[in-house]
Amino acid sequence: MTVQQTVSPLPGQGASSANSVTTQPPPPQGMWSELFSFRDNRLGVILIVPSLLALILVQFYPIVYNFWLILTSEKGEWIGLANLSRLTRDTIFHGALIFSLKMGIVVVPMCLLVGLGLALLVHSDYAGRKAIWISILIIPLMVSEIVAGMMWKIMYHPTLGLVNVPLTALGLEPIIWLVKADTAFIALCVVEVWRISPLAFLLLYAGLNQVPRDIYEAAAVDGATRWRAFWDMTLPYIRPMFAIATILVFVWSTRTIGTIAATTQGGPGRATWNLSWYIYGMSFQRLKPHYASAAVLVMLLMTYIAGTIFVRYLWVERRSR
Amino acid sequence: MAEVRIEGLTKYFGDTCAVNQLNLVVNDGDLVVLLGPSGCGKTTTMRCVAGLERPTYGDIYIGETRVNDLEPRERDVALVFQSYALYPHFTAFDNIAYPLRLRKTPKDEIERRVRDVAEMLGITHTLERPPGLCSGGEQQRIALGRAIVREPVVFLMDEPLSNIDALLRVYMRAEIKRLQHELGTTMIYVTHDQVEGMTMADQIAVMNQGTLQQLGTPTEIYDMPANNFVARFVGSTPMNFIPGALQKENGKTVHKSDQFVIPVSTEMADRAAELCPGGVCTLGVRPEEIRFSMDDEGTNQARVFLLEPLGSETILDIEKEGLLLKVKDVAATQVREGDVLSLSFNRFHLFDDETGAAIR
Repeated sequence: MTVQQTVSPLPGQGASSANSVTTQPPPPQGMWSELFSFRDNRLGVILIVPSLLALILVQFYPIVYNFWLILTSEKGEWIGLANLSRLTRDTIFHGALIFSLKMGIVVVPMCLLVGLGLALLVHSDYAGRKAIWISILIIPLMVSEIVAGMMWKIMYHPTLGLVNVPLTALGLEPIIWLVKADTAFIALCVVEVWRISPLAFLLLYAGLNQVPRDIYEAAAVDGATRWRAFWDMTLPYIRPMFAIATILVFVWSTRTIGTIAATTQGGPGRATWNLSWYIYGMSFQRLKPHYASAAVLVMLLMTYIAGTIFVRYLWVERRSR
Repeated sequence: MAEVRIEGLTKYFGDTCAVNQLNLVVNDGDLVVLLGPSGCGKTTTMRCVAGLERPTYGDIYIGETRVNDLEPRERDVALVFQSYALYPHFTAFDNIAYPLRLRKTPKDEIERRVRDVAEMLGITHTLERPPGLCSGGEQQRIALGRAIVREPVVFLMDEPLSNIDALLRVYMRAEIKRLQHELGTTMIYVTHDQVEGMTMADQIAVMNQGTLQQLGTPTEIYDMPANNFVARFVGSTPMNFIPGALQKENGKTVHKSDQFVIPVSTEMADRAAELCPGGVCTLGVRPEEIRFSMDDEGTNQARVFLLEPLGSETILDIEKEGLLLKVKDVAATQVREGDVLSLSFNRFHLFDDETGAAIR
C-alpha cells in the first residue's frame, strides 16, 4: 500500500486534511472480485449457499433434465435433435404454438388497457376507500384457473349462462360460445382478461403511486393539459411497471392450461389447443414426455424472446429528445 | 408583465381556515415576499394565484383578468417549487424546454432560448444530464431556468432556496433578485426566512395564521412593525420585549416594569393615552438600540451572564430578575461575563397587551 497525501478538491474539507498525511485504502479491484472475495464476505457467502442450492435444485436441475429428455428417445436412446426436427413437421404443434401466440397478442393489450384504466380510476381522487376497491378488484387473482374456468363455463352456457341473457333479451339467437372455433377463442380470451388484468392493475397502480404529485402541478403550471401530462409524465414514469406487467401477462396468458381444461378441453376439434395443452396431452395422454420436452423448450424460448423484446423497448429509459 | 391583485382571498381546507380575507396588491414589476412561519397561509396564497388551489371566497386578478376560474396553464404564471418538481425522466435541457414545447415553439427557437437561459444561470454543462445527476444548486437553477425561459407575466417562488446549503443560498438570493430586476417581471416570493425576505423584497407581506399582519418595505417592516408578531418575527436577533405599564412619575410618563423604568417621549405618551387607555403595554426594543455603559450609576442596571461572539459582532445576554435581554455590541467587546451594565433604551416600540398592535 502506498502512503500518499490526499488533497481534497472540496474547499471545505481541504483546510482540515491538507496539513495531515493520511493513508488511503487501495481502490477496489472491481465488482466481481469484491463480490467473490471469500475472505471479506465469509458470512455473506455462507448465508447465500442454502438458497443457491435450493435454486439449483428447483430451477436449474429441471432445465438440464429437460435437455436430457429432448436429446433421448422414450426408450432412453440418444437421438440428438430428432425430437426438435420432428416438431418442425408437427402441424398440431404448429396450431398450438400459433394459438398461444394469438392469445398472447389479444390478451396482453386488453389486460394492460383494463389494468391501466382500473389503476387510473382507483388512483384518482374520485375513488373513496382505495383499500376496498383494491381488495375487490384483485379477487380474480385469488381464484384458481380451474375454478375460473368452471365459473365462466357456466356463464357461457347456451341457455343458463349470464353471457347470453342480454342477447336473448334483445331477441337474438343465443350464441353457443364454446363449440365454434372463433367464438371459443373469444370466450377464452375474455376469461383470461378477467383472470389476469387484476395483475396488470396491481402493478400499474403501484407504478402510479410512485409518480410524485408535484411534477403534475409543475406540468399544469408549465401549460400541460391533463391528457398531455398523462403522456409526458405518467406514462414514462410507469414504463418499467408496464414492461413487468407485459411480461407477466404474456407468460400467464400463453401458458394457461386450467382455463382450457375447465372449459373447452382443447375443443372443438383441436381449435383451442395451446402449447400447455399440447405438452400436457403429449406427455400424460400420449405418454411421450421426451417429445413433449422439445415443445417445452420452444415455449421457454418464446417467453425468453418476448421478455427480451418487452424489456428492450418498454423498460429502457428514454434519454433522447 | 402584470400587477397581481388579491381581494378578500379566503381558503378553507375542511374546517381549517388557511387564508383569511387576504387583500394584497403586487405592483407590476415588484418583488413581493410573503413572509411568515410555517402554516401561516403564505404557500396556500401563492398556490391560489398559480391556480393549484381554488379560493373558497375572494378574487384574484392578474393584470385586468379575473383568474379564479382559469386553469393554471391559462394564467401564464411560472412557479418554482420548494422541491423543484423537476421532471426526473427528462434531461435538464428537456426540463427547461418543456414549457416551450407545450406552446409549440419552433425547434430552433427552443434550442436558442434554452441555451440562453442556461448560460445566464451558468448551467450549460448540465443540459444533457437528467436532474438526478445534478447537484442541489444545479437542480435549483434548472427549476429557475424552466420558469424564466417562457417569459411569464408573473413569477411565483415557493421557498426555492430552503433545500440548498447556506453558502449557496446567500449567493442565490442575490442572483434571483438580480434576475428579477433584469427581467422586470412581477414576482411573488414565499419564504419563512426573514433574512431572505429582508434582503430580496421590494415589499414584504408578513402573514400569520392566515391573515396579513403588515405590508411594507423591508425598512418599514423592521423599523415600524405594526404589531408584536411582526416585531418578533423580523430581525435576525429578535426584538427584546419588556412587559409593563405606563405610569406618571414626577410629571413625566415612564414605562415601568418589574425590572426597568424607561422614560417615554411626550408624543408617544399622548398616543398611548389615546390608543391604550389602560396603559398596560409591552415595550419592544431591538438589540442594537440598547446602549450601555459600565461605569455609570444609572437606574436600569443588569448583569451580563453570557457572551455570544458572532465574529462580526457580539451578542450580550443580559439578565435581570427573570427577564432576558439581548444586546448587540462590537466584536471586540470590553464586556465580560458577570459585569454589571447600566442600560439606556435608544429607540423602542410600545405594543398594546390586549391587541398586540403597535402604539404610534
